[in-house]
Amino acid sequence: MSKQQFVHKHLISLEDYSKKDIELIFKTADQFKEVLNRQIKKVPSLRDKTIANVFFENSTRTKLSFELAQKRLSADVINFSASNSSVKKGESLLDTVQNILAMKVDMVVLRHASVSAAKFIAQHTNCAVVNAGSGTNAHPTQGLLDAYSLRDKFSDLKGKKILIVGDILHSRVALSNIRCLKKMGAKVKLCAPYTLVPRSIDELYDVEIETDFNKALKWAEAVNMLRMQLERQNEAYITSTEEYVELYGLKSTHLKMYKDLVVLHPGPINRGIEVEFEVADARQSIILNQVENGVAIRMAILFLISQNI
Amino acid sequence: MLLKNLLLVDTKSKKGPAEFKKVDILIERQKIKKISKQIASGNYKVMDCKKALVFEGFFDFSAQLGDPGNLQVEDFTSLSNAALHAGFTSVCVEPNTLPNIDHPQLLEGQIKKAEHLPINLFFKANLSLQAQPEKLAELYRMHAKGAVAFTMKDKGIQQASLLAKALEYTKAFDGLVIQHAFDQSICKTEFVAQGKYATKIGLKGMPAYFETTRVARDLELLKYHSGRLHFSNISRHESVKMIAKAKKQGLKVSCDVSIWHLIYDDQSIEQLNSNLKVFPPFFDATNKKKLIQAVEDRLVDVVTSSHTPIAKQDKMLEIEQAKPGISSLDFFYATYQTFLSDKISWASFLDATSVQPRSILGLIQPKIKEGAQANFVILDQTSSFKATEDMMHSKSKNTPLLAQSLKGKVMAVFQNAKRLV
Repeated sequence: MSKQQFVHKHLISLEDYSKKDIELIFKTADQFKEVLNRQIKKVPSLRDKTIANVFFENSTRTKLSFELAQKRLSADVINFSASNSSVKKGESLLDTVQNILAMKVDMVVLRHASVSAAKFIAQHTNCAVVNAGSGTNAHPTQGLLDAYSLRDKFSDLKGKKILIVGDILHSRVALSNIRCLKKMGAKVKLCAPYTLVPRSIDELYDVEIETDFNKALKWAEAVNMLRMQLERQNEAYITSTEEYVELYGLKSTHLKMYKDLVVLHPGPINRGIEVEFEVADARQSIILNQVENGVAIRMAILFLISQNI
Repeated sequence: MLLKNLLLVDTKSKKGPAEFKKVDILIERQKIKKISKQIASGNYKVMDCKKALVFEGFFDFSAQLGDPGNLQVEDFTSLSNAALHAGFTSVCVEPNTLPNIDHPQLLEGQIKKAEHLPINLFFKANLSLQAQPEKLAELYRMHAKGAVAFTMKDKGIQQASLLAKALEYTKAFDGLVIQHAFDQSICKTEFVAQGKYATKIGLKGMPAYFETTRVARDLELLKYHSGRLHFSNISRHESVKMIAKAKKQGLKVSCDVSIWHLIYDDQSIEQLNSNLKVFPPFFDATNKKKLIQAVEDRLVDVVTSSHTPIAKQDKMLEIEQAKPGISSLDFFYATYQTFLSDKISWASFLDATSVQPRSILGLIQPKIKEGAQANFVILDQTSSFKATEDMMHSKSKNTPLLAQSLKGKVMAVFQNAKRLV
């Protein structure tokens, strides 16, 4: 494995990582991707480590992806989810995690609804923390795997035009994508009605905002279609699903017009809403590559962090 | 007793440092016998104060208490000790205890508990009944028992009609209505200021108009109904500007800001530190700079500690769950000396923390003069120290200052010639 310097004990947000760190993660992921394509898809790198997947929010693919990555690295894995926990009995987040850590756990993979959860646990415990989603703040491994999948396609992200479409306001995926892509030198444009665009985001990350989806598509080399959180409709961020689909849904006709456009989606997909049914399976879609790359990226980050604990 | 080498400031002056004069103070029979440039030591017991500041003592306009209902966070003794060691000789406490102080009998009980404390406690009372927030409490009877002002501390007066009635009703006895101006419909779940730092951590935040629209509305009400209105814990410079303009037009209006809003801005959000979670939130650096200038220009009447003691179990949480507020009394003077003394003159700061709060509440301003009771506070401007929990007298340690190096200590507090600190 790579001998380059990696100083981090946690992955809380990509805000804390440099371009060099991200490049090292990608290079390490390349090597693990090769492992994943072998007959024996397993290495002993983390055989002396115990990792707890602590999930206070529902998750299917992220949890599976982390667990598989951990098993491919030969780590011991325990799983915790809020539904069968003492959280309902009033235990605080810190107490819950400290109880798990008392069982000699080396690393926590944490998903929680609070923006500060991962940082809070990193500050108040001694274990390594990998953020698997903290409120609307960060989902760094998703940001990494999306950028990594684009790197597969474009080899270099510098100057590449990446469009992110949909509910930016409530999306930790969007924020983590922006942080990662900008650090790798890509150009990023956001497309959504202004009710779904966070204040000052253009100034903060040097990104452009375009409300006209057709204009934005014309500009883009790749498009990441965020999942529409249907409950937002009741909060009047959008007027109706139909109007949203008409204005911001990616359709087969678009793919016919822009033949080289690369399509991403962080999942789970609402077919027929943010993307038309056929779009997810189209030639331009790399949605399943994202899922595959997710395991390699998570192996890379778990491996690199384990070197520092 | 003879106190030598003290620096006394004229609070009427606008220029702080230039107006200091070096004095010696002679105390005899609980009174100040003589103040002079130089008093011969003679046979007196001498205390060399080495150019420390002497003043009448801070008056805190807004502090929270945990008695009744939440004794683990603050009781009368811990609050008064924290205040005294920070140079406060008087504190005005909020009525948002459990239960709220919304009845004359409850108020009477509080006043009685404060009788033997080393500081003077003053009490605000609830404007409306805790159980029926739309109904005014017995304002006159509470005023007669000693309530100095009426407020709906945590909730703010949301209904215009309730504020109108309160202004009209309190006119009969020149009562003071205190408003915490915020539009509840705008800040339902938000707890940070909208802007790039909120966006950076994934929060929507609340826009500045959550406060300014409410100030504008309430000034209209005051213009129509008259009465006396004070805006507490203002966070936006536009609000101060509106209030100053209204005051110039003759309305009886005043405002305060917390000392924290002069120190922190919205960049502090990035730390995700629940000890920096306050309400109203910290806005941008330009706004903070303008608030500081407004204190220096005396457009802001009062600077408060906004002391909010919170138990550890309610702060050591993910930031959304943590209660807002800072335990502020203990390091109040050091907070000024460390972070603000180069931006706000001592004269302006004293005006906002001693003269104006007493004046707004119609209380007598103590004076350091010959013949007066020997009541004063002596401040060492230069001593520095590292803030620790052990130094705090407040039961609650929720302050972002812990482990920081601070400058400025309370050297002594004298009350009726007796040294309390």
